[in-house]
Amino acid sequence: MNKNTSEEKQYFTGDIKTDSNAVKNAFGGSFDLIAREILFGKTPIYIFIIDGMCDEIKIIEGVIKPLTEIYPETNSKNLNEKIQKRLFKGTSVKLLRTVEDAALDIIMGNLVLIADGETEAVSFPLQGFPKKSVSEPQTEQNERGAQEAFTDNFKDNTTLLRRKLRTPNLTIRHITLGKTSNTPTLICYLSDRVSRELLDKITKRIDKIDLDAILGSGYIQPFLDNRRPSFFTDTGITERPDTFASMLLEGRVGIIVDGTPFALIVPYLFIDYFHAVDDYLSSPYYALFMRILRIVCFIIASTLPGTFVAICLFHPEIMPADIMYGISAATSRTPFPIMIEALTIHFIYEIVREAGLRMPRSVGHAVSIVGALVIGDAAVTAGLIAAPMLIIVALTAISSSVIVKLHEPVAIMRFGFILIGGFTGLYGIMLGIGLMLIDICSVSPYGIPFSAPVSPFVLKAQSDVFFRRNWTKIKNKKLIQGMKF
Amino acid sequence: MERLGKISAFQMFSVLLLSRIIALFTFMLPSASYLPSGDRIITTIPVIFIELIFTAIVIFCLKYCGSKSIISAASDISDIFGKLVSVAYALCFIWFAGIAVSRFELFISTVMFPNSELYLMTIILLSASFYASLKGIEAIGRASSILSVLLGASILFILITVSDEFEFTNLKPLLTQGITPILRFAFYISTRAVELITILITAPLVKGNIKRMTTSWVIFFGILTTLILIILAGVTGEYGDDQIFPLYTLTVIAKFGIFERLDDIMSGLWVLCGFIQVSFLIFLSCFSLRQSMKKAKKLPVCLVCTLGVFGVYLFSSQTVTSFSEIVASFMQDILFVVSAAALPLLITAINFIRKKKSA
Repeated sequence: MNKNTSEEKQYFTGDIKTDSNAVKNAFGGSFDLIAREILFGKTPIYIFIIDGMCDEIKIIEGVIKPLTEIYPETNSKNLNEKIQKRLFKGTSVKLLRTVEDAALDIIMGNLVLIADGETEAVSFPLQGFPKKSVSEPQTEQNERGAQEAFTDNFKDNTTLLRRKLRTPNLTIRHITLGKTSNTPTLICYLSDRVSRELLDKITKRIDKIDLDAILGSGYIQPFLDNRRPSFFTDTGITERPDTFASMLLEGRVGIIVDGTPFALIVPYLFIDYFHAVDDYLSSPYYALFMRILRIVCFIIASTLPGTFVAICLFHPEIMPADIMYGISAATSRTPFPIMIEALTIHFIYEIVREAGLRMPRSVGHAVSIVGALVIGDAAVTAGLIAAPMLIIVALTAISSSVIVKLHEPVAIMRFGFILIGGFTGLYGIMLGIGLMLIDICSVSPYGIPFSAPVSPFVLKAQSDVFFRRNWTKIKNKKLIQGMKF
Repeated sequence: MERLGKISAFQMFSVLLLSRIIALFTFMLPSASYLPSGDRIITTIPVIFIELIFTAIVIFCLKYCGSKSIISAASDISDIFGKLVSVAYALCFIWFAGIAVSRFELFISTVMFPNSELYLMTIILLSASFYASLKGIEAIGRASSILSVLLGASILFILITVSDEFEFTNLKPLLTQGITPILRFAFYISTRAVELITILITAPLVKGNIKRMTTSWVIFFGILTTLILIILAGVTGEYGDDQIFPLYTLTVIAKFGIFERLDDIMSGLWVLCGFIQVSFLIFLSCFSLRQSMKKAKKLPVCLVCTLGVFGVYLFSSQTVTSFSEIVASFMQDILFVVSAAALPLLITAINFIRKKKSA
């Protein structure tokens, strides 16, 4: 399905000169468009490819040789039929009637062939462009699970997915998005598990995408998200085929976009942020421990600096006297108010983090060392920053690394909580948490509450919320039995 | 058309529970004018009975109205009457929300920020509640079901940590002033249960058996109140008689490990619960008002209701004494009886007569 069809299309005329010029003109003289005229018998034909997008060996062995060496005496009657029968027997060749369709196929890495006297071009799937091989996940590391991640190529990704779910019920629908980019996009689901209503809703939203270019899954994500201003997204992102497959098994819908290893999953619930692949591969009690740990890390990463500021400024009586004395002694020696100190250090931490992310890996370590030495040691020694504050920052930073998927909202909320804590103490912090709770609870992506299955409480789904039931106890093959996606 | 969000009976139960706990235990009139803490325990029995009577009236009216709210039932009689009733209930909820904010700020100003200017805090609370009420009953219901579990666990934790201080002798003597003050106090507590009025309005928004939920809520809350009051009386004795923030007093006494007091933890949860209560009441006032102004947008109506709540807060939060007078006033009793019983019964009776006539 290509939703970017143009009203006025240019049909092939059967005159090789006119048709080949039309195809060339469609590319505006691009240097990488290769157009070769060869003779098939006595009939002139044109082949078109984009340099670097096709497999050269396949072209020579499968097209050039058969045309010029094996069938040199072919007459010009029913040429397209002969080409289809003789070249690449068994592959899915397509007949194209318009110049626009031919141009699109050439862009996709296909070889398009136009023969004189024929009003249809023939397209061969001979893609063979350089691509990254399957590698380890970069953002979702694990201990015992598969060590492969999606790649930038959508066809490789379908293979990875098919290898996880060997069932004909795995349906993968192909669409093209982006008027200019014509990005291949796949909608994946298990036909026996997905809700038709959910699928229709997602398809309708995707159909509404009217962008010029889709250069990554992030372009599609806002269209799938519930339209509301919120910190949390209800569209999941994963680069792991096993995570993707497990989500499909629960009746969700996955979207793979060509050009990015990050696939999208809808609907995605808040509790999913705290689940990891290893939870399903380790013992249930350890999985429970890890999930609680991640939730605690989320709370620490977002609210600890703000709470610390609030306690120091408004509620020192909370802390035991000995601890509070140590904190007061340390903070009283620094020149800045504690709220400014907290804001500044966290801002610097984000700078160091961003630098570590963007800089070449070879100098990444240098950034870490400079960050640690300058901010950590020198600033404390110079009396610019209190040591307790540095401990809080370190704990916050480590905690936020545990919940990588929530880094974006947590980083912003952290600054918000520092400001609230600095101005209104714990009162404001609690109100902030209340607002965050309301924000989480107010969304129902595709009719499923974002806060489910905790609130509303779904008893059947509790086999995989905080505690994961032992595999031997799960009789039904569907892991989450109570949630209907 | 705007989608009408619905919540489960359990979520509604949680909202009512949080709202009631906050209303009852945040601020209690000093017992000098009422009862010693030992006698308060007995009060819970008549409280349950009185609340069950009002619950029966509410359930009777709802049953007769079908699954409609009392405002819709009033609209069946006449459009103008329906509009008047909707405005009356909206004003009633604005009033109760304003009182809730005042009560809350009294607590905050006393225990959290004794020397601070509180208008900023109130504006923050109202802004947050305004935002939450815009998000609708689903968000409030879901959040409160999570919070009710947290609050329940923390109350239990506090009750356990103070149990070392419990003295049975503190519970005696009982009935020192006879039965009349107990009944008067029971009526005072029951007629502050704005939650019963909210059921008349929220009935169409609740999935499940609302009648069973309301009855179980009254009984559950009665038992919980009894438990808290027994522990409070047993731990604080006569000292507790003069405490206007009874549950907070318990948290100050409670100790756990290196933490010498647990009041800040409890205060934090209290802020969350108070926020939910105010949000719920603002939502209800907005919901009631919009029943008579179908074309009105949610945002401006909600904003007007929030400003109304702020107005009531300014009026009622002058001093502790003036606030006590307003809370204890006879007008509060009348407002409750009219909203929870008289008006619903009148609407039901008129509808009944109209149906009989048309038949």
